[in-house]
Amino acid sequence: MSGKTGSISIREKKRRRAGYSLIAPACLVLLVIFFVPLLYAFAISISDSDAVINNSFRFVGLKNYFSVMTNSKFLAALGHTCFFVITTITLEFIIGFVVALLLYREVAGSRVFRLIFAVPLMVAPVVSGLQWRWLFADQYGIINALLDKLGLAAPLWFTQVSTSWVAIIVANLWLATPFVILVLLAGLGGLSEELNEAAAIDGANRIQTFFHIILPQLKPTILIILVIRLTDAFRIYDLVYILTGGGPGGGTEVLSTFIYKRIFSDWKFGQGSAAAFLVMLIICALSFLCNKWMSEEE
Amino acid sequence: MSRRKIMNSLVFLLLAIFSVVTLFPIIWTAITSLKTDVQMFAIPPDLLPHPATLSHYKEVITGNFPAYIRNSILVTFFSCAISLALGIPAAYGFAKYGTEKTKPVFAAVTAVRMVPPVAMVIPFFLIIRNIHLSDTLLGLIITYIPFELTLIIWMLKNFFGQIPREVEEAAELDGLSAWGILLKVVLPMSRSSVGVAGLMAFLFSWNEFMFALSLTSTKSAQTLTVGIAGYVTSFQTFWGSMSATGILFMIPAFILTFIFQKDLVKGLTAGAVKG
Repeated sequence: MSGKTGSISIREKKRRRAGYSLIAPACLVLLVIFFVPLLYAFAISISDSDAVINNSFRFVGLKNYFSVMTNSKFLAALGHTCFFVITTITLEFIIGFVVALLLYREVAGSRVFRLIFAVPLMVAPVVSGLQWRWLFADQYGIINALLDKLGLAAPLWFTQVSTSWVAIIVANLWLATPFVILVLLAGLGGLSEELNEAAAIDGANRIQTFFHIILPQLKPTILIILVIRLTDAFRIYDLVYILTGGGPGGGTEVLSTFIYKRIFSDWKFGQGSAAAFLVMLIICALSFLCNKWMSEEE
Repeated sequence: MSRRKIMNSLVFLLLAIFSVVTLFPIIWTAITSLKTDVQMFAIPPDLLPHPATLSHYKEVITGNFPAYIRNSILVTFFSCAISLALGIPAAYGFAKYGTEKTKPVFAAVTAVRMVPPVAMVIPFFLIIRNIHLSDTLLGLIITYIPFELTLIIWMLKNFFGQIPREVEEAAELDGLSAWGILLKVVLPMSRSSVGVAGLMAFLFSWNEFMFALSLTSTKSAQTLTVGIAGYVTSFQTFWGSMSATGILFMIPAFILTFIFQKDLVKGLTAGAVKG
């Protein structure tokens, strides 16, 4: 009896050791090149910036956090980022649903269409930003030429805050909507046909079917997309850097560009780090809320 | 019947319009890359290049482009290879040999995604400077590994978790160790998932910009993203060179996407789906 439990625990021990030998190398690497630097970043956020540049540390408590939170530029960047995140994700879902439902009908050429819609996913945000900057160019840009043809007034896109946002959001939609389309389509593929048919028999029209039958079933898929897109949209940097650089007049400054400038233009490492930790806190809180919502569903 | 046909044609038409919108920026970049400098600035813009010229491609290839692409290839190759070599066993370990003790470790791994890259720019910049790896490929490779590694662990843990227990039990009876099972049994049957995980890691480093911008300063280590952004200066923008570089830039990503198209969605949502 005792011999048997002994042999089991030896086997169990062996299993455990095997598991650790598989996991340990990656964890060690992550510890050294991610979590130690992250800790260092936190130390920087509670230290004086000049001390950091000279490779030393001078504890200043939460001073950097307070000065960031009372910095009007940071608050503006936070506001801009929230505006951007809400606008782009809303539009991504609307366009995403329309295209996914169209693709779901499996008309001729669906496979080719699906492949085409996957293309922007592979394009670097920097390259996409440059492409859209060229498309939105003032005089020799094709978009303004088209608007001219249609008899519409073609704006100088990057001279005004509002039109700059249009350019950023259009470019971002081009980059990010394909993800929403493809994942929604995968979610639609997993729906039960019977429910839709039952709804059709009950005389529900298409719009009713969508809101009362399809949408509730897609909730897990929608949450997955929301978590991924929220964390991604909150950290937008490349597109804004290329398209507007945060301008005109700081009107399109987002959190990442604000922090980057604090660091590499003003050399305020402490404040930059404190701002980054505040952003991290926001992202964590949002993901936590989404995850909680998700586990309530299950 | 005919109503259905009309609906289908309408759907086809709408999808075709969306496709044109999706492809147009890339097509326009390709057209621009073939135009002469004079033609590029025609008002209103000419739709097609005539005469088409390869001069921008020639400019790019004889310029800094070879250095940039060499750096991009080296950084991407080594960061992906190291991340896969570390990440595949770790994902397998978490999936099949997980205990109560490894749970918080896995949670920490997934938490990496919550950290915005800009938060890591400061410590990486200072550390890389202090160990004298500024403006080197090694500095970039080190920086990219944690992001790619966590992506790979995340995606593959879910996949490995779905492999039926019996497969491993049979192999265990044959006397294979955990590493033996992974290498001889599990890996051969997981090629497509490992491929997609590798593709995601590839895309991260191939397209990464912020770290490359802050950690490199000369063409000895600058990658393609930094190189192409350099065509836009405050004084002048070199649209021809930018377009030619952009087209060359996108080709490898397109080829890989085409190869992995079937498993792409699985890769994109991995990690968010609870395994």
